[in-house]
Amino acid sequence: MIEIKNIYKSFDKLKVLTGASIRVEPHQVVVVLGPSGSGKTTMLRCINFLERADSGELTVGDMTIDFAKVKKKEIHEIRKKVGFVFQNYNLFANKTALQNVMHGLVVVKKMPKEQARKKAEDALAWVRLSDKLNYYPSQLSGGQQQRVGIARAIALEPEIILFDEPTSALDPELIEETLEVMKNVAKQGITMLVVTHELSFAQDIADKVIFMDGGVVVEEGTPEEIFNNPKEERTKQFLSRIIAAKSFDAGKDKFAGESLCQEK
Amino acid sequence: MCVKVNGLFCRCPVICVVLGMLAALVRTYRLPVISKVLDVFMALCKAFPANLILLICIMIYTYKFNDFAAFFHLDVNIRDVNLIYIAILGLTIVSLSGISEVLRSGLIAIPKGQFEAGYAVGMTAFQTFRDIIFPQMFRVVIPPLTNSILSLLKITALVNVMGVSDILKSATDAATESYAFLEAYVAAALVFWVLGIIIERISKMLEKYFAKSVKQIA
Repeated sequence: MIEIKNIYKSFDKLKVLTGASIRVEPHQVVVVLGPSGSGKTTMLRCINFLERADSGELTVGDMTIDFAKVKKKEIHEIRKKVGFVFQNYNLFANKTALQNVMHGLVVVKKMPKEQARKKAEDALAWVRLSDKLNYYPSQLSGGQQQRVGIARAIALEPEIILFDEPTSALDPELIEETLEVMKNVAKQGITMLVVTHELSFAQDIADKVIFMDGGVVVEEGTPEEIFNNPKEERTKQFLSRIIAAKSFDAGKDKFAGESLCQEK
Repeated sequence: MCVKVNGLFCRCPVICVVLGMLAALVRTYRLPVISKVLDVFMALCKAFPANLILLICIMIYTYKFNDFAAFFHLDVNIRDVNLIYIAILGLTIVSLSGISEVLRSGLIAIPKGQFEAGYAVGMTAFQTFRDIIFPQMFRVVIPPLTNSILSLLKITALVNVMGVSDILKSATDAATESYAFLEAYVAAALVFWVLGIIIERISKMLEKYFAKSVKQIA
């Protein structure tokens, strides 16, 4: 279980988070939507202390801390309980795919090397990368790198995995393979908090959808409630904009296809 | 004499790299107070010519050493201290800022995401530095660091202003007995050349070892 209460964060004068609160139950998949600049990514990074929130309360499992007066040791404890998948993968550039997954197990979890290797191999097999164990990140495609990133997060068996726009840096044809893996993660019953623009993922997989704007949670509910019956004006606007953009893309493809046919 | 000369060359780069690394770390992770002090110190060191620093060192040493010893209640006399340590100190001051800046440039070249990935996996700042940042940084700095060490090797020829033997001084000392100056200079040049080649070779080997994770540039 993870819960944030009243989180505030500003960068100099720019107020990014102004009292957002969210709660994720065990085995739940929660998707956070919102326009850019709404503070979703910042909130995610605050949970893992990659960014220091100014105030608020964070509960991860049985640990509750106050953002304003958190100690170094507590930060370390929380990071061990929370996995993170980055938008731009951030694999360790000096380590192979296998070492990327293994390293945390050996150094952080103090697992014996052989056992860690076995576990890392399993995790990579699970994201269908068994044939790339000894490849360095620079030799892998974006989608493959992101799958290694996901394997690295699951292998550590955290209480929750945070996904920060995991498909935003990927080419359209690579998005599918990554989403497929994320769906499998969800099916395993791993608690997930996902920031994404992939509405289809939210629709199919999420137990709860949170819509954020202006640093606060505007609306939350089941995917059906949010997508079919949004109550807030801002949610409606956001969804209609995204859906319009998507159908425009789809229409463009169709149009291009038709004109090709005509030429023939 | 040969042993003394070797000591100068072996110790100085090691001391410079270790201290330079520490200084670069302090300045990159911005430890309060010390990083400010180092900023000023480095800027000063960079500005002075090498032989001037060496001369100042030897002057301070000859005039003020006994006062220093008295101040720190050390029971040492100026005659007990081998001049070579003063030479090492002087050369360290001369090269430290350059080497430290080379290391720091390597450190800031590492994308922020590499640090974040380490922290997110649950590693401490030290573990992240040791396993992720340092290996990547080291690969980047090998070529410029080799350059710095080669210049350090060359400025050791300046320490004869202090009356300390270096390769060049040992050669000319030998020459004064036989008046074979040209031969002596050529011999000194050969020694520098061989040392240069050895350093170059070590650098290439390290480069090869650390380049595994990087695609070859066509």
